[in-house]
Amino acid sequence: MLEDAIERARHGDADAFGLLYDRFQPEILRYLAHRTGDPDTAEDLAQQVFLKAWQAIPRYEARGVPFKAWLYRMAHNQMVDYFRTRRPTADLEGIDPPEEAEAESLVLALEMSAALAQALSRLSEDHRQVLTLRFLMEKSAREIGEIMGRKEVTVRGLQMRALQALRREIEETGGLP
Amino acid sequence: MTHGRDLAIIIDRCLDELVAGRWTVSDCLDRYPEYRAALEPVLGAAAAMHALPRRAGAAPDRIRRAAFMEMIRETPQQRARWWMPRLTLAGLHAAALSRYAAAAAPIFAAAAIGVVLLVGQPASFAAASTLTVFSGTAETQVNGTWTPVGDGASIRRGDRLRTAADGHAMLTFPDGSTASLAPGTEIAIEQLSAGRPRNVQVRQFSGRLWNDVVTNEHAGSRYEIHTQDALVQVQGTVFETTVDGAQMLVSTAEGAVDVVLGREHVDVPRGQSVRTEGQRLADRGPLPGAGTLTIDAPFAAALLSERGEATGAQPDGAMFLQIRGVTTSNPGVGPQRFEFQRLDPGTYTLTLERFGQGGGDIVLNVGGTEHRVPLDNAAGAAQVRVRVEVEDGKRHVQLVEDAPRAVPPVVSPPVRIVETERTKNAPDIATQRAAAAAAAAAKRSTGTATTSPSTTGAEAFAARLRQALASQNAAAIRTVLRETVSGADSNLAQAQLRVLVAQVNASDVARQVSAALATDEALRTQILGRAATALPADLLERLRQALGVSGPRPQAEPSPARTPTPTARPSERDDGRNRGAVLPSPVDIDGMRLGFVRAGMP
Repeated sequence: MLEDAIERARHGDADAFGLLYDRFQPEILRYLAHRTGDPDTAEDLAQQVFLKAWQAIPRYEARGVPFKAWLYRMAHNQMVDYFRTRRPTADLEGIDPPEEAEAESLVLALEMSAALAQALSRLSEDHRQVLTLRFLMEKSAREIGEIMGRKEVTVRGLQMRALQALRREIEETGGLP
Repeated sequence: MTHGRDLAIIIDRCLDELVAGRWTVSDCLDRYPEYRAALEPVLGAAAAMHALPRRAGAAPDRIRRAAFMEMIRETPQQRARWWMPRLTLAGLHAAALSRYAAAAAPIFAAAAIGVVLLVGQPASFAAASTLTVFSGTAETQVNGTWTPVGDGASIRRGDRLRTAADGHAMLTFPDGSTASLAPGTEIAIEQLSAGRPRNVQVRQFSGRLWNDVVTNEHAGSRYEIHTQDALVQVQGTVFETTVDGAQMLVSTAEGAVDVVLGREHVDVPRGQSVRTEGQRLADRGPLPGAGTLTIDAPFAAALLSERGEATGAQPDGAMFLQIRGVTTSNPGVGPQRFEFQRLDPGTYTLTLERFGQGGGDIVLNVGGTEHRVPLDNAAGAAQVRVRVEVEDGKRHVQLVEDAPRAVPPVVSPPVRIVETERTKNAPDIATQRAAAAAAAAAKRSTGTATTSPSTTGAEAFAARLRQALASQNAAAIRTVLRETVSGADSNLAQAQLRVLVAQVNASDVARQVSAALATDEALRTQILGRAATALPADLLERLRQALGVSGPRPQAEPSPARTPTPTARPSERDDGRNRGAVLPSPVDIDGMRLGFVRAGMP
């Protein structure tokens, strides 16, 4: 079914590509929302990812990399491109907490998120990506390897070093709330 | 196994269990007490990450989805066309992805609850043209800064694009029209509509822009080049605009161009050029021709520059005009002819691939002097180099070798085409010639129009057959093949059968068709029966071989339109020269085999 849709889309069948869009867009959107923190930006980036995927799918070869991982790679690159060409105009000091932040637990969660975000921001892009995929997208080391184009054993080492680096950053910024 | 690798494996195991909710951090530490000291800080960070809320997934927004679907229906796919289709595209795939390889971005990874870490307007989502960078550097302007842009990039309305002094690039618009940028060219996309009618408006600031514009009959369709002082508008044509400050040179290679200077309209017909200064017409005159090159043989030819640009045709019907200053005619309607005008000096490779049997010549005509080079009857693909030199402002075109060199098709260089409706729907050259032969036959028998219903019917049949073959569905292939025997129109059936013969020329297609008919002997017999009535002996034999039939030929199938008597058969054929056993030479057989009737060619 999936292979059939991919094959048809490779030969220019827009409806078949629509099936792929329905199946994978929510996950790619979720990944981009986690990485950008902005649902609207994530929506736009996701549309661009799928537009690029439509343009490039004739060159896609199933033997190389699973289709979903192929989309993830595009999404990651699209996000990197996006931030590379758009200088950030706000920093952490500009974060506005949500209006419904009265609940103590939510405030704590938000503070923790902000502290974590600050620690994460000091990590390398590889470390941020592996942690996002591991914890927020709940991917296994094997799946992360497919997405990042690394061996599973490499991903295991990478995630260990990412967590060690994150721990150091958290401690340097005063620890978590 | 090293300690570090052990630890990495243990951490991975713990993360699997943590994320799945089966273990806590304590469970993990208890299970691996000897690693407690190393695990504790790492798992603490992991627990913090794991505690972050995750975003829920949701089905795509219906309105966005609808807009997206409309968009992709109008957006061309990037499909590299190689000289022979069996080549793998792995290398190209890697190249396409490599442009995304970029430095790490200065971002915050946002594992937060709706926390906006970055403020910025998302990129607009609009119809896209596709950039091909043949060599050197191309750049787009983003927030006032020029940034290198790679092969395969989408260029949208509002984008500004320029080529460096070494940059050769091309934009492919959604309808298949292309604009090739010479080095030092700068443009902006002012309008780009993916819908119908076409609306492409480009502002040109400097340099040379070679435009190959697809004919678009829709009312209100536009393809325009705007400069500081002028507007150049066309429908379907090939032309070049050169902008240098307030001066502009417009040269029309095919069709006609309308140059608007203030309120004045200046027509620039084929073979003419005009020079403007500001809003004033400064000069006009004929476009200097540097010669022609005609392929008088059943080969599809493409001229390739050293940078990878190509102008010509492929046997599958794709045509492309990427090299500035040279045009080509369609080999599907007659001998392919290249016309050289303001072609850049250098050495080009003329690559030829056979679409039918037989030999012929390459004819170079420069200043009325013909130079003929024979093409090998047996070669499947061949190459010959063409040198262009400029001396005293005049271009000199010559063939470097005395004879084309036969080459294995697999080593022929690639032609880079962005797939659009224009290329996807192009019938292959053999089919076009078969249709042309059918039209010529209809014209001879009725003395009327050149485009007969059987011609268009044959093209539609060819498209359905290609689709069925691509699907690799035997039932679908049989359904299409059944059309050749089910209709009452014998002219159409003849045209369809010619298309079938042209298609089964390729051995893989022959195998597919033969396999599809293996389970339906009755249909195969019907097809061969009708072919015996409608086709000349050589074409019939070709079809029989392709379908794996040996032994005595079947009797002609009774036709509702004709009485299948031997005396009636010649009148159904295109040309007396092509009547099987009475053919005077093998060359004529080959011409007929593909339905190519020279007398009917322009």
